[in-house]
Parts: sequence; structure tokens; C-alpha cells
Amino acid sequence: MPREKFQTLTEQMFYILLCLRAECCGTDIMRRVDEMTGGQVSVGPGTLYNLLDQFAAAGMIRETGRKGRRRSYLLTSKGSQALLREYERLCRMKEDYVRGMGGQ
Amino acid sequence: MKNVKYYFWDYLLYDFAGVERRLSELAAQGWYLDKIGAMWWKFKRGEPKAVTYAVTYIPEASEFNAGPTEGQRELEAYCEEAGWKKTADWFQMQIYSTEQPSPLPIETDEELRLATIHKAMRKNYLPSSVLMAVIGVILLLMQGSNLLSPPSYAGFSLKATYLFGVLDAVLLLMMSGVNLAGYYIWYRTSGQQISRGGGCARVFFYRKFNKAALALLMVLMVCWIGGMLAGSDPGLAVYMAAYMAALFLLVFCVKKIQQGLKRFGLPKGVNIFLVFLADIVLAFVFMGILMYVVWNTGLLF
Repeated sequence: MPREKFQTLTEQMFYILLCLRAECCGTDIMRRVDEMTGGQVSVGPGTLYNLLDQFAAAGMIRETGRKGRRRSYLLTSKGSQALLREYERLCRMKEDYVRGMGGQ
Repeated sequence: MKNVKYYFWDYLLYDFAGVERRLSELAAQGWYLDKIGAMWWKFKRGEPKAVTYAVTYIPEASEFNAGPTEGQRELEAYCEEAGWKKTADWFQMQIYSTEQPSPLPIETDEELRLATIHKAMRKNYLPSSVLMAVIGVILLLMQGSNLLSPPSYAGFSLKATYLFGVLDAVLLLMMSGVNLAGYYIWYRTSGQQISRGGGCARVFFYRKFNKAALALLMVLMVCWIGGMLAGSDPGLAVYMAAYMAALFLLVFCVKKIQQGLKRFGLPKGVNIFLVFLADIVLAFVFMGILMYVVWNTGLLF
């Protein structure tokens, strides 16, 4: 993949990690992202499955429980750092935009 | 009126869009996927409906697993939540369907989709295509050297057999070469399209090419066997027909053993080992029977 893994986050990655500040399972994540963004960002089940798998492999989330076919996850400190890094990047972009447009 | 139909399934494993499109077309005609076979997929008649099919991939899925993996079950739960129902799986390919008019797509990140497909293809499609190309090269070298050997100990029919072998190897090489190059081009084009904000590229022409190559192979085989039967060497023609039949029987038996072991609930590693063992043993048994018949009937002498 051209993107260096998780150095920057896509919208879907960002919102999934944000949801996982509180423990929840994949099906809850799909619903929460939709509610959180007013339907602007949707995470498909295949994308969610693969991202959770990759986040877990990268140590950004950890599995906290299992109920039938559903697994619950929680953000780790590494995941929190990635989320914060992305937030700071977005803030810098916003500031650059304001400066670039001649605003305050 | 027939309630079951079999379709020759010549889609490549990475052509998710082709599979989705074809399954939706067949559902609109009232044919629903019932069972996936090695080359023929079984469909059952039903009421024609507008059904959307979606394909996704789980790289760790395998035909040798006793049942669905935890990952497959987890994905199924997420898909059910989004209104998708599991229809079937084919190697790493997971097929889902829904009758919702505008369903949430299963894949919403094209870059991730491409990476997942590539990971799945590296596990299955690419190694098997490379293996096919290697077999093609070995066959070409063997049959080519036989064909070019002095004619003193090789009669006309035997030379025709070697020529058939050379053409066979060339076709095999062409098919694996075209399919490997086709995948490489598709993967690159998809990556470029995604980086410009698009989706994965459409896969073109391979089905026509593969069908034409197979048809050519069949025509060559019929001409060659027919020529020998009509000519001076009917024994060789019978031997080659029996050899081909034994080859098909071997593939059929190995597939059945693999499915049986899977139903028996054996772990993946044990299944692979036993199938490999059965493959070797059956190959020796079939060739032994064939040689015994040849020796005792004087078919080739």
C-alpha cells in the first residue's frame, strides 16, 4: 500500500478508533460511526473486519471479550497516540487553511 | 421444467466485480447459487428477484478448514448487522447477498479492499499460476526434446504425441502467462485508479481467452486421438485416452477426499497432509493399473 501504515488515518480509521475509546464490538462500531457523523461516514462490514484485524495486529486496539461471533475491543495507548497524532495533523491543516485564506 | 442448472464457472478469483455481476444477473433470471464446484457451479430455480451480491475476501480462509474460521464468523455477524446474508465461500472469496434496494456496501475503503485481495491472491491464485507456468516450462522442455530427437526410434504416431505435448505445454504457458500478466496489470491499474479517488479496475477479456485456449486444446486432442485411431497406431490412442481419464479420475478422487476429511472435522494441517499423501498414492495406483493393463494386453507393443 502506498500509505505508510497508520501514519495518517482515513476517516473510517479515525472514527473506528474514536468509537473504541469505550469498549464495544464491531456491530456497535458501525452504528456509532453512522450516528456520530450523521451518516456522512459509513463503515462497511468487510472494511470494518479488516481494519479491526489490522489495528489489533498493530497493537492499536486489544480484544476485551467474546460473545458468540462478536468480539469486543478497546483502544490501547498506541491507538490513542495514533488518534491524537491524527487530530493534531487535522488541527494543523485547519490552521494552515485559515492562515492561507488570510483569516485570523 | 428443470429446477437445477450447472454453469461453467470461469471467473478468476480476484474478479470480484465479475462474480457479483453474474450472480445478480442469474438471480434476476430466477437462478440462485446453491453449491460451488471445482469448475461447475450449481444453481437452483427460484422466483426472479433483484438481488445484490457482494464479494469480500478473508486471506486466512482455506478450502482445507473444517469449518468457518473465527474471522469468517465475525465478518458474517457484521454483515448480518448491515443486512447481508452469507451465500457461499470460494477459497478466500466470501460471497454475500441482499435484497435491500440500497444496501451499505460491504467494502467502503477501496485501498484496503485492494490490499486484502492482493494478500489473498498471494496465498492462492499467484502461487498456483506460477506453478502452472513452471509445469508448462518443464513439459515444453521434455516434449520438445523428444520431438527433436532422431526419428530412428520414434515412429510417426509417437512424434505426433510429442507434437501434441509441445502444443499442450505452449497453451498451458500462454494461459498462465496471460493470467499472471493480467493480474499484474489489474493490480497496478487498480492502485493508480484508487490513488486518483476511483475504485478497483474492471477485469477484461481473460474469460474469452481462457475459453478459446481450452477449446483449442480440446480440438487438438480430438484431432490427435482421432488421427491415431484412424491411422496405424490405435493402441497409443487408447492408451492416451485411458491416461487422460485416469488424470481426471485422480483430480476427482482427491477433491472428494479433501471434502470428506473436511466434513470429518480434521484440522487444516492434517487435511493438507492427508490430501497430499492420497494424491501421491492414488497417482501411483492409477499409473500402476494402467501400466499393468498395457503390459498384459500388449497395447503399445
